[in-house]
Amino acid sequence: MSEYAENEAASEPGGRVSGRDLPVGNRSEILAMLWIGFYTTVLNIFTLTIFRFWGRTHFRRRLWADTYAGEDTIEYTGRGLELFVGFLIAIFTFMAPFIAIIVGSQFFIGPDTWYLVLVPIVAYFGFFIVIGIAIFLARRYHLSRTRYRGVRFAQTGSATGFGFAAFGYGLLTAITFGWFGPEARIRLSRRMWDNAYFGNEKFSFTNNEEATKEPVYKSFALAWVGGMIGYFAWFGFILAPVISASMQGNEPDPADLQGIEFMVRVYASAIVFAIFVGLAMAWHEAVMIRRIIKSLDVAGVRFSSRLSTWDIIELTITNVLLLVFTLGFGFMAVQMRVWKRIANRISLDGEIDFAAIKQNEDMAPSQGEGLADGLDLISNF
Amino acid sequence: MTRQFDGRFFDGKSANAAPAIVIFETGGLFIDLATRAFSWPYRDVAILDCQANECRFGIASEPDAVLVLPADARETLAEFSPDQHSRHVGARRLGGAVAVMIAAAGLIAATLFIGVPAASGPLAQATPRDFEQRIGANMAAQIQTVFRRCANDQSLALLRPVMEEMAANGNVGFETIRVNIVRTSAPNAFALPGGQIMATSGLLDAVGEDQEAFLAVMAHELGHVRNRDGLRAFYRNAGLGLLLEVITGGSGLAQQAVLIAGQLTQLRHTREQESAADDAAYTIMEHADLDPAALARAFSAITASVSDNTEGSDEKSDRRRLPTWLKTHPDTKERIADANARTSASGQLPLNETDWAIVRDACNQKDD
Repeated sequence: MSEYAENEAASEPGGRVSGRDLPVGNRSEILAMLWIGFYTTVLNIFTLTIFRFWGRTHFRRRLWADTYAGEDTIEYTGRGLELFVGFLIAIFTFMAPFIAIIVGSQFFIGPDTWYLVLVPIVAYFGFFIVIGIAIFLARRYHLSRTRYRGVRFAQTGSATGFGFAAFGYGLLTAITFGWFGPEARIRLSRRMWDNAYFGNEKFSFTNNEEATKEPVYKSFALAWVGGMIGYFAWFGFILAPVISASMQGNEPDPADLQGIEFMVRVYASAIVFAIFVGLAMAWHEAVMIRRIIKSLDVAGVRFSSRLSTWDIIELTITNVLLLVFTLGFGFMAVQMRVWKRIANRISLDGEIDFAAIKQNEDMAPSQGEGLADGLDLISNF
Repeated sequence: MTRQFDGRFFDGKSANAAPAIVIFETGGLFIDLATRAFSWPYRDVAILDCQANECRFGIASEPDAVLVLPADARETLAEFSPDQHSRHVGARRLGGAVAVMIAAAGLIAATLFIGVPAASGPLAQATPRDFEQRIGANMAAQIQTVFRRCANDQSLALLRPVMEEMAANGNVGFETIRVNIVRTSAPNAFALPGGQIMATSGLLDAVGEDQEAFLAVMAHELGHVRNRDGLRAFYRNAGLGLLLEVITGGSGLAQQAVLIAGQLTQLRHTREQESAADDAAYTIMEHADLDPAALARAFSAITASVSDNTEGSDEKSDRRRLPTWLKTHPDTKERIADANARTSASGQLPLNETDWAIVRDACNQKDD
């Protein structure tokens, strides 16, 4: 019998375990993830990407199974077919009508009518709300298919409410040139986590002292300035031929913005840009992840995170290189490395009574995350 | 023969772990939890996951129950239940699923490359003409946000009655014909749905004083209008785009591959449609008292203008000045020969020299 099991046995009958005796982490191996990424990419080509639902399921199953708290790992119980069916439902209930409205308006409304412009505007606004709904539903699906020690996670709450909130926050973020962004992210995280359950135990997202101490806006200021500089420098570099032509009074030549030479220029500079912006945002990203994790508690244990800025910097650089050198099929390995680092930096505090945590029989949604997949929002997690 | 393991059992009702003694015996697993004991028949046991040192097992009848055993229990399970739990069973199942997916992908590909193009023709024929006119007008408006329209209304006003008369006499099926001239140096013309025709300043430059050659190109475009090719292309592209978007859920390698293949099939179809448009052009020209050989002169003029422009120029401008109008069309030499073979005397040209000069001047020759 292992040390942990002895602890548990010793703490019977209540099954109380100290958070300190539940080390959290992930032991995924890069080669395993590269392999899943590789065969998913290859099979995607031969199946016109239909395999992606199964590839994603394989990835999650591996990642979840490698993620542990104490002696036990979490489990992913979702199935590829489930994702595929969810996707089909999303197509027929949302995507097909959406495309039909956009295309159909071209048939019914002429170019001289002012309200022709309204159709795509209204449709796209609606689309943004649906994006929020899709994120919420996908998350609900993830949690419902995640199990720890035989007990399922779950999420309740209104997906539509989340969709509108995300849309409103998005508008505010745009109006404030991004400055509402960190607040929006915290609020949306709260909306999700405040509705999350582990069995019958509700998660709560609290503004405790540890969490609010994180320098969210100081770090954002650096990210914002760095991002702006990087963005303008990048665009300037890409559009340099056009800009120099204009400055000399010549008409810009569209051929300067086409062809292999231009594409190489764009992609090569995009890598440099991604690394630069990644560096500028590293502090803020680490702060935000810590801010959110430190706000969480469930069933008597509080989450904490030691994720550092250097973790983000190192991950950004190595992950960009990994993606480049694997010609993209390393995308799952990249996501795994981010997850692994975050998981390895989590610690738990407090005392949990496993015997008191009961399965919640009411919470088991049947739908997949189709809408989010149809909208291309899936990050494999 | 039996084998015994020590493990942990989660009953799926609470998160508490119960120490379990598990015995592999004929027919199933015997699980002893000290407080109770029960059996799991092998046929219902599923391997949930295996780590380096542990494997997790489940059972369909109690979907949340999890039994955790040392990793070598997996091999033991395969020994006791080879039909359901040997490693090749899982691989075979996945192989079967992938085969079904590849078959489905084949079906989708057939729909994309055969079904959608085949359906586009009848669909275009069934579309009311006023719908087609509206979509054509919308497309023309969108194109003009990309290409600058030459704002010479006088030229267009002169061309319009000429085109509409050609359309009426040639049974094109649309009374209203709109020609727009856009400012770009490549000699090109194309027909959008519903009688919207775009010609480039490059085409006007290429044909020069030869009004009949210009009208021959316009007759060819009217041929596309009559055959409703613009709408067919719209349906084909919309169908392709929609299916791709729907199937692939966005971006990806497969989508790129499908797109490239899609362009190839579109090219093939376009060639067929071009020949049909040439035939229609001859009829339209005949009704308009124009010499069909003028189409041959137009082809030659366009080809010559492209070679003139590329002479002594660098590679970049070569690429820019590719003869788009000819590129997607059937073999030019054959077409020239075909048009010349049909030569007949032409009647009075619809525009006098002064008016033709105004049309030619639509873009003020600013590009060259």
